[in-house]
Amino acid sequence: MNIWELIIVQPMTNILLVITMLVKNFGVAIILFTLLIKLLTIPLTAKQVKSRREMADLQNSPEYKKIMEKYKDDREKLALEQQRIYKEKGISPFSSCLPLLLQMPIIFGLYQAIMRAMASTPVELLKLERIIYPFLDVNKIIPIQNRFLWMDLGQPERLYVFGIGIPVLAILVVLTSWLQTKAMETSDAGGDASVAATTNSMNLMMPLFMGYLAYQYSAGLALYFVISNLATMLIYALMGEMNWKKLIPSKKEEVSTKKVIETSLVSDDDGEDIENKKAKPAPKPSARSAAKQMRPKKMKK
Amino acid sequence: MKTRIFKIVLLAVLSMLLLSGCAGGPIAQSTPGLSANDTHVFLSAANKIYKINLENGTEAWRYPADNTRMMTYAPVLFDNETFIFGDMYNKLHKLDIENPQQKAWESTDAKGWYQAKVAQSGDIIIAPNTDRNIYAFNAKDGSLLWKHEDNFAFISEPLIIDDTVVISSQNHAILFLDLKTGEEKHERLAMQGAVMAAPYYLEETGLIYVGSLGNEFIAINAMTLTVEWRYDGSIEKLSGIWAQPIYLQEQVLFNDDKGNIVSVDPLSGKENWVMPEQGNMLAGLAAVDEDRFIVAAEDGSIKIFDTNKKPLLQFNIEKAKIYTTPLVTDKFIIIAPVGAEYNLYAYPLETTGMPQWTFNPAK
Repeated sequence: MNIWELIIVQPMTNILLVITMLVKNFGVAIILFTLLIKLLTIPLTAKQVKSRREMADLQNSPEYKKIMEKYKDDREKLALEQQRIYKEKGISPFSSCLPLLLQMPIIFGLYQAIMRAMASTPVELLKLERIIYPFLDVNKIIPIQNRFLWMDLGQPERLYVFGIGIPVLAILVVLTSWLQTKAMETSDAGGDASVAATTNSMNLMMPLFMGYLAYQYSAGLALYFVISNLATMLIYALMGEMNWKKLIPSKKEEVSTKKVIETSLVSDDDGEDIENKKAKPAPKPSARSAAKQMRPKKMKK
Repeated sequence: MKTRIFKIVLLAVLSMLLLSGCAGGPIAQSTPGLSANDTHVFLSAANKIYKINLENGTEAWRYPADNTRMMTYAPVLFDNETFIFGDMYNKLHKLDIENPQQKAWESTDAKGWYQAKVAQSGDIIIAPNTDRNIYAFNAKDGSLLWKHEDNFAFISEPLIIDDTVVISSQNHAILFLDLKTGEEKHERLAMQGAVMAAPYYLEETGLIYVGSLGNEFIAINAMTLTVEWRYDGSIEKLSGIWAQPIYLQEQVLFNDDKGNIVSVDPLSGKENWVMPEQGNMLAGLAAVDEDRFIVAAEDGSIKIFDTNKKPLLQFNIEKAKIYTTPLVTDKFIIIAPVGAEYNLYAYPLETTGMPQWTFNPAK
């Protein structure tokens, strides 16, 4: 057994099995275990969110933009100046990545623990048997009762309606993944259309890919995806990081964003009150992206 | 900006690869299925079934011949004209043995995977499925005759004795079903753990032998369907038993997953001898001839012993993991490892450890 298995996968699998023994239902155990892990990683998520906010604020500050503009042709100098600002403000550019990196082993461990516990062939069962701690009674644990609602958690999920197998969980995975990606989207692509297009297509591709995994692989995995997506959305919503307005059809958003930008440009030129102008056109679609556009102009004034 | 696009795409691709990697490749990890007649060996290896000439290891055919999606590890059951197997796309197939593109029938009644070899008695095919049902089909047209539901997936080969279907259940029990109706014809026999091993019937003694993951090995009277004896030998604690026993030189031999090999008297269950811990084993024992048997361990080591537990030969297949019980034909010992250089290794019965032929599917 390698170190990864020993310190991550084995303990997590055993915790999952203990929960299963306590609640006597593997589906409920997957849900509880996913929520438990999400709860335990909230401090890391909060730190990540805080760092991301600080970084975004800094990058939108006039001082930062000024440096970017001033040293755009001298990358070395630019890097030095950026480091100086980071140091002055006490911000590390990697501080938002670190909590994410710390969470990664836990997330993948959780994923592998669920996959491991859903053993349904002799080889998989043998491998599961081998990582169960000696103080747990293997014979009471194996085999795990995979039945949950209409699903067999060890196999791809289908709800049969009039003989047609509908992949309900896979559909839910696509939906919740898309909602999550869309509502947590922070980048406005810096106004670059090609980057925006790429981001948009990736935002669509990832949920579809997750849906494909949910369709093809065991229902337990799909259940984990759905619960994990819902829990992530809830946690981010509580932290004020969910932008539900992004879920409104994008055409409106584009038009109104354009209006806000145009307005802000006009206000800059003619020197009228920005707040006044901002209130006149269609309401801003995304408070954060609009604010981003507005902030430098304000500062200039 | 191009760098930014590149980074986004790279990140997405890496995420996808990471997720795909974690998902473990195929739908489920299992082991190759083997069966053979006098002239050919049939290998069920994930997405194809191969019919291979026993003499020289050349491929006679593969099914499906094209890129049609399929996944199966279940050994095939065949007669002179047809063969039957179930797959992990929930289908049971009966095909022509010479031209597998010619389908006799296909059943889509089950909602789960077929992992085990099916059994046949007359015109009735008994097929265990992971949707917690045992199915009985009409061998002629594939029509469903009955199904019997329980609480856990059925993943081991059924045994049919006269009009009784004996089947191992992960529900810590052995089930006895009526062949014609699928009704439980006798109270199920409680075991101390999940039963993965297929039951083995010895006509000479009239007993059915089977072990469980509850560290036990028992003999069941085929007439009364009650326990005749329980193994209670010198091994302090048997480990889980995953494979069928064999009968050789008036001994019943079985192994557990720690590699303990035990010989008992078929009638009394009295221990003859024990060979402790020969390596981790999922595969069972196979009789090579009247006095020798072979055993393959997970680490790729293969050992041949005589029935007095004298070691005769030991060799190994590099990088191999062996989970499938070796198959012995009139002329060859066939090993189907995973992770090795070849999918099949065929050794002559009087082997020195050098394969006579090996098989890998041509691309």
